[in-house]
Order: sequence, then structure tokens, then C-alpha cells
Amino acid sequence: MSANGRYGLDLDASDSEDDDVMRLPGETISKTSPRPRSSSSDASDTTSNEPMPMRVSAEVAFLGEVDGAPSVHRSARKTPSKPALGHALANDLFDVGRFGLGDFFPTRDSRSPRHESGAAGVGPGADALAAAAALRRELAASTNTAQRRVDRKRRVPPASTAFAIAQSVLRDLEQKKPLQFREIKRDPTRVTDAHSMFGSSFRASWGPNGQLVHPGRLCASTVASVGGFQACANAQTQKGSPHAPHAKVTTERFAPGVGGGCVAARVAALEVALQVTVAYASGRDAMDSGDALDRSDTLDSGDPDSDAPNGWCSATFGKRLRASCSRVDLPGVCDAYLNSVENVALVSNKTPSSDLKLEVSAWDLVKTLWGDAPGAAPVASAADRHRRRASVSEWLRKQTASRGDAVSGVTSPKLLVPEKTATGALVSATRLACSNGDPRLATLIAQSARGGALPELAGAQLKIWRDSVVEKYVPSETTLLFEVIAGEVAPFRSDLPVKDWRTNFGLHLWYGTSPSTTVGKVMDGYLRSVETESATYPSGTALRVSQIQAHLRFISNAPATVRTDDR
Amino acid sequence: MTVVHTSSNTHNDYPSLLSTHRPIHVQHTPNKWTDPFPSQSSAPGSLDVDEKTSRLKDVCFNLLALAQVSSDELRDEARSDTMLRQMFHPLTYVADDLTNVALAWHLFNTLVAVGAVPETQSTSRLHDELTVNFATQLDSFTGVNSVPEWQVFVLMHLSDGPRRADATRRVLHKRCADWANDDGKKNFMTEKAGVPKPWLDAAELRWRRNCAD
Repeated sequence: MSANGRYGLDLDASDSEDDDVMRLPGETISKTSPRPRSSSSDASDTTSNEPMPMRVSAEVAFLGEVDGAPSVHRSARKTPSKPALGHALANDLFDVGRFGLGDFFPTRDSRSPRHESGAAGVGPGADALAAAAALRRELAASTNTAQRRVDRKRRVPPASTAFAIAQSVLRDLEQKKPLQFREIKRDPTRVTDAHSMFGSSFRASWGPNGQLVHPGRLCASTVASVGGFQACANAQTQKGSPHAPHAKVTTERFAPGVGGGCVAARVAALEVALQVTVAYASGRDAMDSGDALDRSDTLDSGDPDSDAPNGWCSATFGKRLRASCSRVDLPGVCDAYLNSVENVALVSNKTPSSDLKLEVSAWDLVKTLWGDAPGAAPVASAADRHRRRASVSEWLRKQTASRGDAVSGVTSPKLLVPEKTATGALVSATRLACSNGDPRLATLIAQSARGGALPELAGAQLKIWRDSVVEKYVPSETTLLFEVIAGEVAPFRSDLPVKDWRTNFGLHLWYGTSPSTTVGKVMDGYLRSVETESATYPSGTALRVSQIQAHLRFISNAPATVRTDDR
Repeated sequence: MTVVHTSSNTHNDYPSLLSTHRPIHVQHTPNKWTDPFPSQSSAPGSLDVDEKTSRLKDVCFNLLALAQVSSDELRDEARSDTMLRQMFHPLTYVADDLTNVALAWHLFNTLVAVGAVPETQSTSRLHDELTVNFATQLDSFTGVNSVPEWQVFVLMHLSDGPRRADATRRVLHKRCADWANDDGKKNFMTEKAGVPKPWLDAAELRWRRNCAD
């Protein structure tokens, strides 16, 4: 008897009816007539629930009484879920078990007692065979072939079949129908992992120091409790476990990308940040107080109420750090950042000079915009606004002056005058005008960007020139200078050394608006000009050739310091 | 007028840059229109990619704009969130290195400290994002340049407590080989960065146990 017979599983995928028929001596009818097959691969014996004719029950009772003891049915069918009674009865006739060899087949004795229910009747064997054949023909006639094909498709998956075979071979010889597949118990604390579908064959994880580790099914705690990977592998091998881990753990180094910049620059800036870092004490109070750094507060005190406003337990999450700096202390902090940039520029060339210069500009501007001196005017007051504007103007002059003469590329001293004026270098422009023999122009330059009636007067002078034939006799540099002083800064002036938004914004700030105009209003006007494409877009992602040349000179001559001698 | 595009890895090769620059149309006639947006390379934020004027601006221009915005407007998270994210984008101060968030992190920290940027949920999210990105940037330094103590210092600035603990402990475990035998780094992490000592002990214990295997 095969395992598939016991478990009600149809392993035969062929459609041949004859292949499924067990040839029995003396059975001739079954070779030509269709044999009732299992309508389902389910292990439940549905036929036993049907009303059985009395005659057949009598024959069964007769067969069960042959050896004088209640015997059981042995099904010779291929799909025993629907018993072919004819086969069963015929097989019983030739069953060696009923001649005293039943002990060699323990499964017969373990059959359900319901098969022995008909043991009370007695009848001749010939009649039983005839009745079984008649019943078989009747069942075959009533069975729909199409339905059988549909049912045949509803077979148990091969994996389950293989499991049944393996289980029968190992320890389940006495298992009854229906087959109950063993439920795989899983650790509820484990999350379903797609990689675990392959069991120990593959399971990757990140190990310390960025190593990709493949430890099989073992976790670090298991290995540690056993005594190491090798000891665990030996133990598993001795037990004959098919999941014996590899003796050697495979590791792969993971490179988390490239870049990061210069490590010296990063550390130098972080050291400055460390100087102003405190532990987050209690929300706004700590933020407003700007108290000195309390290092003892950063330790893990374990006080659950002394941490962040949400009541985070410091023992669990650690103390949050934050920067603490007042506006009075801000200039010192910004100077520390500037010094760090300067030091990095001296010792390392990994950081692009353009980035260093931009960083210098940013910290200088932060100091200008938010830094306060002791006793300064209150924030947002009129005096504060004017002071900020003056500071921003000073910052812009630094930015334009740091690019220096390399920006313009002009060699003529006369042409340098309007360009110096446009970049805010009024002192140099005045000096150049004097040296060119034009003191009257020098006086105008000295009065420019100071408000008053000079812009209107310069504009009126330009109008006179343009409306007459005199214009062609006026030097172009003089006309250009008057245009700058008159505030004709928009649309974009290609004849001026306007190489980036700083110079262009400086033109708007110095000559396009009055000295009392706040920086905010100047910015609004500048952004409107940008929208109408009459001003340079404040993009910082590209540098021009002249700026690169200036940066080269700037870094090589005076690293990380802004030249202010051009004023 | 010519324009070149520079990148962080080619800054030492200026002659080649100068020879490969791309000329643009410029009219030298006074009072004539010229292209205020010269063509640049196809880096994010450049004209070739984003022709709108809303593209990223220079970090200094952003600082100027931030100084003009009132604190009430900054507290309006719906309006300030996008603006702040654009202001502290890496491409506002570097050409093409999206991973370089160092300056943005330092600037944001400082501006929050002086009250220029209010502490709201939106700004806290942005701060945490910058913090994690900066720690990731520091994580790229390996070998002798490894700075796990500074990684931990940066991560301890996270405002979200559970994430702060998780990220910090993760770095401690990952970089344990770089600090386990260095008392100076351990003292820095406990005394300066405020890392709870049990975190260090747990990471070191696990590391030494694995090393023993």
C-alpha cells in the first residue's frame, strides 16, 4: 500500500483510466467499465456518508467475518477518498491479512470502526461480487466526466504531496485520514521577512563598522550564548541539522558613497558649534536665557522630568543638544566660523575656493544682519533698520571689492572710474578721477550714493546731453558715470562690471534708491526687476571666469580674508 | 562675457575650465538688453533645468531675504516651510554636491539660536532633516578620517527623542571600531555630546563580543 493511498492523495497525473486500475485476479468487469474515482483530493471519505444499499452492507459484513474477527476495509483504489466498493470487496477476497498476516499491516487495524458497521450480515461471496460490480457500473454511469476533470484539477499542491510522502516515510505510518498538515509554528516576535523564504541560505544584515554580514539563521545573541560561530556550527553539525551554519561569516565592506568634503573643514566648523552648544533644558526658557554651557546637564542623569518639553526621559533618549547664542555674542561666533574657514584654507586645498569664499560671505552677512553691539538700538527700530542698511552696504562693498580689478578687465584709467563707482569703491573712483585731471567729476563721485538732489541733477544733465548734439562730444565714460549716479541701474547694464547679483544689487541699493530706503524695500524692487528680466538672477551655482581668476588671486594672496583696501 | 560651470572636484583645474567655457550672446552696446540669465551647465537649479525664476538662489541672497521677513510670517508654517527649505538647500552654496549640508546645518543652528528662525514644527522638521543629512555626510569619512564622535554630536541635536536615541546608538554600533579603543573620543561623547554611557557600554560590549568570535 502506498503512501498516497493512505493519505487520499492522487499522485498520478495521467488521464489514463487503465493506469489507475489495480488489476485483480478474477476481476474482469473493472477493465472495461469506468471506475469511480475520487471527486476530490480531500482526505475525507465522503462516500461513507452516503446511504449504502443493504445488500452491499451484507456482503461487507460477510467479508469482515471471514477470519472470525472484525476486519477493516483496505482500499485498493488509487483515490481512496471516494471508496470504490467493488475494489475493496474484491481486494478483501485476496487479502492476506484475513489469513492471519494482518499484524504486518498495522494500518488495517487502525482503520475507523465505522467500516465494520456491517459485520452483522452474512451472504455468499458470489453475490457480493455481483452486487459490487453492479454498484460500480451504476456509479460509473452517474459520474460526469467533465466534473471529474474539474475535480482532478483541484489537487493538493505538489509541495503538500511531497510533505505527505516524507511524513509517511519518517514517522506517520499510522496517521489516519483526513490528513492534517502540521502547522508551522513561528516566533510571534519575528517580522515576516522575504529573505527568510530561503531560510538559512540567505539572510543579510549590517554589522559593525559598515560590514554586510551573512550569518545564516544565527543571530548574535545565539552565537554568543553557544560560544562563537565555530562552536555553534560544530554543534549544529553534530546534531545533524540541515541548517548548520557556515563556519565563516561572510562580510562585505559597504562604502556609503563618496564626498563629504574636507574633513578638516567639517571638524573645524563643528568645534565652533561645540562652543555654543548646550543641553536643551526646558523649552523657551532655556532658549531665551542663553545661559552658559552647563556640561553637567548633558550627562545622563536619568531624571525623567528634566529633559525636553515633551517629557522625554533623558535616560532613554539622551539630552538634546542645541546652539545657544545671543545677538550680542553672534559677531564673535561668526568670527570664529570665519577663522575656521581661514585655517582650513591654509592647511587644505580640498575645499573649492569658491565654496570657501561663499562661506566667508555667508558668515559675514549673518554677523551683519543679526549681530548686535552692546547697547545698540532695539531690533526693528528705525535706527536699527538704518544701521542694518549701512551694514549691508558695507558687506556689499566688501563682496564687490574682493573681486577687484580682475572683474572688469579694463585697463584704461578713465574707464575704471565708472566701474569703481558702480562697485561701490568710491574712494578709489574719486582718486582715479583726480589723477585723470577731472576734479569736478571727482567731487560728483564723492557726493554720490549719499542722497540729496544729486541723482536728479545728474539725470537732468543727461537729458540735456541726449536732447542735443552735444552727446557725441561727451566721453562715453563720463556719460556712463552720470548714468550710474542718476540711478539708471535697470535694465541690466552690460557696460558696467555687473558680473553677478551682488554688484547688481549694490547698484540698486546705492544708486537706485534713496539712502533711507530699507533693505527690504530694495530687495522687493530688485526681485521685481528679476521677474522682468532686468536684473541678474541671484544664482550662486555658477561662477564666471573673471570670478575664478579673482578667487585664485584672493586665495593665493590673502586666504579667507576680505580685502577692504579698495574702498 | 563668458560663463563656466565649476564643480567641487574640478576646482583645482582652472586652466581647463577656462579653455572649455561656453560663450553666450552679449551685446556691448550701452543701454541694450543682454541676457541676465546666462546659460549654465545642466546642474539642478540652473537655467537649463529650471527656467523659472523660483529656482534656488544664492545663500547670501537668501540670508538677506530672511532678514526682511518678519517673525510672524516665519511662524506661518504653510508659507515659511517651502521658503526655508529653498533657503537652506545645499545647491545654494555649492555647485553640485547635494550631500554637502554642513554650511546649511551650521547656519540654521545659529539662526535658530539667535531667534532669526522661530522654533516651530516645520522648522524642527527641517532642522532634523539637516541634522540627519549632515550626520550622513560625516559618515562618509572612513578610516583615519572617521569622525564618529562628531557624528554623535550632530545627531544629539535631533529634536525627536526616539529618533535621536535610535540614530545615535546606530552610529555607535556601526562605528564602534573607530572609537572603542580611544578614550578621548569616549570622553568627548559622554561629556561634550551628552551621550548616555550605557549606550557606549552596550555598543562596546557587542563589538568586543563579535571580535572575540
